[in-house]
Amino acid sequence: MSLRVALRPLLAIDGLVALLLLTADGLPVEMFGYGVRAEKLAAEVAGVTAVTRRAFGELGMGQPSGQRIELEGHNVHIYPIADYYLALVTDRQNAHFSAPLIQESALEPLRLELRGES
Amino acid sequence: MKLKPLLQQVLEIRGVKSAALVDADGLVLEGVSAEGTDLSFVGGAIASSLASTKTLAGLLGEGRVTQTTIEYENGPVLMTPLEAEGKEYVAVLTLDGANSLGRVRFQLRKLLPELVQAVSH
Repeated sequence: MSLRVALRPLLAIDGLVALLLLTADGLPVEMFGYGVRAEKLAAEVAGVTAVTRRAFGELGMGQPSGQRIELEGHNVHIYPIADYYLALVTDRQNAHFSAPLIQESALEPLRLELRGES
Repeated sequence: MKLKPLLQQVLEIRGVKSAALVDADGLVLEGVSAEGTDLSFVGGAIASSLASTKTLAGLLGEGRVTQTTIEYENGPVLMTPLEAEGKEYVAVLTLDGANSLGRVRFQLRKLLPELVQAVSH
């Protein structure tokens, strides 16, 4: 299975504006959507995730499994998958808000692909 | 009402394990915890988190972060930015599980105006 095929089911998410897969150090791997440059978005998402990893470790909260940043017009959802991050930008007005945004099972093809197990 | 009793009210919401109010420089103004957790050192992390999410918001052409939720193995952390008299603060809550998120967000929203009022004095 190719990476683009593994990502394709996620494109059906309500209100999706952009989807970005990036390495843990902020390099874009794949991006769907428009309006934002992948390199810039990847760098900012990597900055957010670096803070998140550090932030609450000392509180004994364990590893982060997801993050949702709510803005006035968009939501940004970030999921760590293997050694990568998946960032989804959704339009708040056109999305039916629900948490979690996606079921774990929807990420499974991508997880397998990134581990080379597909 | 003063800040500490208000945070105690937040702590009484079912599912909340700790609550703190942090300013944009990372200073923890007040914190309360059901388990005696020391919250004094989270301020710097909160300030960094606020700064990084604001940069991301700017990239997406947005001016304001309304809420950030981070899900950890041992429960979510809810961060809600507040503004009082031109200064930025963040209400930080740790929760017992994702199932509490909806209820806590709903209850917290009702207390936010009072939190803003408390830090304004």
